[in-house]
Amino acid sequence: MTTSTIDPSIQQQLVVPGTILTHDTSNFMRGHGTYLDSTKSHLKASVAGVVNKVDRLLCVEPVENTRYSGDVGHVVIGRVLKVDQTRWVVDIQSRLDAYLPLASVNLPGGENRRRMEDDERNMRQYLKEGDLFTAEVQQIYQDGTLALQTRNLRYGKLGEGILIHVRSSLVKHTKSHFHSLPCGASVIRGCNGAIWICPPSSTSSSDNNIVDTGGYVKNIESVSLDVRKTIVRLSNCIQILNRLGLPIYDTSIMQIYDISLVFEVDELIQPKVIQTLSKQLQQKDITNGSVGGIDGNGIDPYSHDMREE
Amino acid sequence: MDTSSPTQKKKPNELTSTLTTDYISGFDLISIEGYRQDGRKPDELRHFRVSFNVVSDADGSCYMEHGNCKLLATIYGPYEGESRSNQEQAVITCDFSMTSYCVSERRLRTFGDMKSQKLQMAIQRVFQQAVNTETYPKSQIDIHLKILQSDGNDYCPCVNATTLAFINAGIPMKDFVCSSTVGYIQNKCIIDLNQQEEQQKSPQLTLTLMPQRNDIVALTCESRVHHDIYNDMLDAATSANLQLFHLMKQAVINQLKTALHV
Repeated sequence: MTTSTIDPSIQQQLVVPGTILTHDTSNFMRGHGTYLDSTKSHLKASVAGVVNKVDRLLCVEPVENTRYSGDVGHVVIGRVLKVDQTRWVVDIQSRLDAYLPLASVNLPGGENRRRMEDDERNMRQYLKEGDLFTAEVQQIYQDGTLALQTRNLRYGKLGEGILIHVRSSLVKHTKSHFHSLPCGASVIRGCNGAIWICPPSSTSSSDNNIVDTGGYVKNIESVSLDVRKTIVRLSNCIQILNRLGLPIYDTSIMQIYDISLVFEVDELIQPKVIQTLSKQLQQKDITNGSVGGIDGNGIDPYSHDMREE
Repeated sequence: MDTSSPTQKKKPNELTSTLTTDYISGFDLISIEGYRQDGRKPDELRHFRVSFNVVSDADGSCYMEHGNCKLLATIYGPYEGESRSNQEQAVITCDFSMTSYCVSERRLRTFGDMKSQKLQMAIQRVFQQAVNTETYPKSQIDIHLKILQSDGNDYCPCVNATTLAFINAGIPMKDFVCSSTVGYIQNKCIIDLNQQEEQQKSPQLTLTLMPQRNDIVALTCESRVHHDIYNDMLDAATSANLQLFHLMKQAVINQLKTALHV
């Protein structure tokens, strides 16, 4: 790495904080996970991870344990922390709290409704502290704060179900994040690593009803034992995927779900069973041609990431 | 690490070269063969072992064993702390505590005493410098340190474990931060003192270093040292920190490899 141009082998190389990436600071751009030292003569890594060079941009991507950093268009699941004057303050496991302005939610009574002072006073009726809801990232501010919106009727308050947290890097942004799985449950994959599993939405509830209430009224109805078991099984399966570091898609969830059917739900947390499942997944080759990344413990989440880009 | 030839007691007439203060306690810290009481050579570190991701709730965590010292470092954050107006950098807080069973005599008060407050302040300052805090405006990062078993100096293992926990949390840092002690006993610099060696009334020096930049972050020397000896001690401390850095770096690389399955 002492040459003026970057060593081609640095791509995919493992580095630790303080490692010199290049001396040629004029020809390379500083990406995430790198910094220019005070003399401006070296570009150094600031996190431990894998070097990723895209044209002139040098990045170091941390391997695990990073907080969610949002992107416009991501579907996220958040919890209301505080109700402010004209916005909700939301926890989405990011490094800063996100905001959901009153102006970017659907209020009962249709889209073209004017927002008045009454609405500001009634904000707690729609979403109060502790409520969970899905939203989309609308904007990222300079300091990294995220602004959310729930303009679409797909988004909104969540009712009955299970919330589980996984590593946010395992949930990739795809076309759809709302899946109603053939096993009889719905899954919402939040890009911030929050995953919501709920009973399948009853098709009988008319769309008019949702428009009237704006999706803020959730009926609590009893869920049958079978559905509950399916939900818990799915939750255990997703947690196994998380533990093995496997990407979480609707297809990968269904694959591990199908394999897991030979075990009882409560067996799915035993390390032995997890190992067996991981081996079976390996045979099935869950990620369709992930090479080299797969071994006894799972699949390299990073290489998957790279291929997608 | 503790395997070596058994230390032998010297005969009194062979003690002529040692300082008078050293044999007050009745035994030698370095044997004739050049081994220390625990079987190490003067420039040898205590055994070092790390494991990561031990606390699943935390953003980064690390359990470290350094000699007989065992401790747990956890990092929470960066998250949005109490609102501070126009705060352009992350604020780092440190919470240090010891278990009541970590020293030979049971402690009743395990946190908040003068010593741990000083240590908290020191660690906070060290990492405010080492972490790229400007990447996280309006945020807060919490360091929690728990000593499970103490072996003399708590500050050095705390700094080292915190560094590793920060790296595990994926928080950008300028460099590793390594810290190590050096003592001067029987005309020799000995590195990485254990509790027994630290209790001797001999000059001691604690150096905290960013090894790849060769920046001294903190240096403490709480006794009077002749400047000839001082330079030797500083060199010994630097080399101790470099040894430690290689161990820490290897631990991080190994962790990366297991996470990537390569």
